[in-house]
Amino acid sequence: MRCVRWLSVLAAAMAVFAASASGAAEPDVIQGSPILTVLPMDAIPALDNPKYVPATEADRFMRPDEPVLGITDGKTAKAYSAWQLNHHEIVNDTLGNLPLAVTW
Amino acid sequence: MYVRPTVEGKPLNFGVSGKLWKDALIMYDRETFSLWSHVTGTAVKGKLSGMRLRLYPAIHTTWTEWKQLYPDSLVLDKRSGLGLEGTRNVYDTYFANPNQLGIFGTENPDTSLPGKEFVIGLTLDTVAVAYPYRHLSRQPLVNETVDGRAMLVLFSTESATGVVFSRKLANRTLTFTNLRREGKNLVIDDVETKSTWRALSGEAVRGRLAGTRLEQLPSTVGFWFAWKGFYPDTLVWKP
Repeated sequence: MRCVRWLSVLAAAMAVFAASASGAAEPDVIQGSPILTVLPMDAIPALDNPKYVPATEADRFMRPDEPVLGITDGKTAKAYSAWQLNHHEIVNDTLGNLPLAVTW
Repeated sequence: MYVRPTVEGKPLNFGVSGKLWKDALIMYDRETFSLWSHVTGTAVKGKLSGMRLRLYPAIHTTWTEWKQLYPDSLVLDKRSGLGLEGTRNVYDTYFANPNQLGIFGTENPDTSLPGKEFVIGLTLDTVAVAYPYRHLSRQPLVNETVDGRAMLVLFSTESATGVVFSRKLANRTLTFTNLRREGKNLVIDDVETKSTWRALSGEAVRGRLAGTRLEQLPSTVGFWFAWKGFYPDTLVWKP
């Protein structure tokens, strides 16, 4: 549940968009909470066709305490750096034959 | 972590809509442009409105702990045409500031816990339940039955890793005890068969049940204020 992290980084850009949005139509309200547009669609690019390396090789770019999101189906295990996921938010991936949206 | 559902014969692909709802990401799917809440996994607008994504169990941990659990793991490659991606946490100032809750100044809806307390959050059939890290640090092994589900919650204080398993194995309900490190591995025993299990993967490594595996239940890690905002009726576990 990655609430608001990317937005805090982009606060300045957001303020501009929020200002322009406020002049536009009323936002959609779902269950009493508005859906707010703060960035253009795909301004943060989801990752398609992800590439992997074995754990031994990943040691070259992963730090020991780096937070990761990990999954396994009992056969294959895959890890995603949380710092890297910040740049994409979503990875359209598969585990075995199961299509997954990697996100948190 | 969600399973991408098949719609009209092919799995949906998701993108970042640039929209926010309740201070959290709204995804869209490229096939129907429906909007999906990232937190609840429910389509809130568009053709697929009301559809709910199935969670897939994942674990939030450190690279060191993960590698210890799964030495043959694959890892998302950081090398791209633009150099290495994600060499630091771009949100570290947000994480470090206890007073900044969300970008629009969200209030902590329940000050019995600090807004930025990390919790393990779980949604069951009829209830949501939160396990605050501060409580898990004091009691890192929890045998629970919530909403009719016999569950095991485990926490590694060293790597701030929380994981939830079902305690049901075939027709038996197990009870776990004695969380400890054996070498680099965090292990537990079950009371009923005295088998020894790797705590974070749920795999029995010694004893009568060696080779079997507990079912991991999908849980998430989030800030308390956000969890409570989405699940106002959430239960909160205390030791």
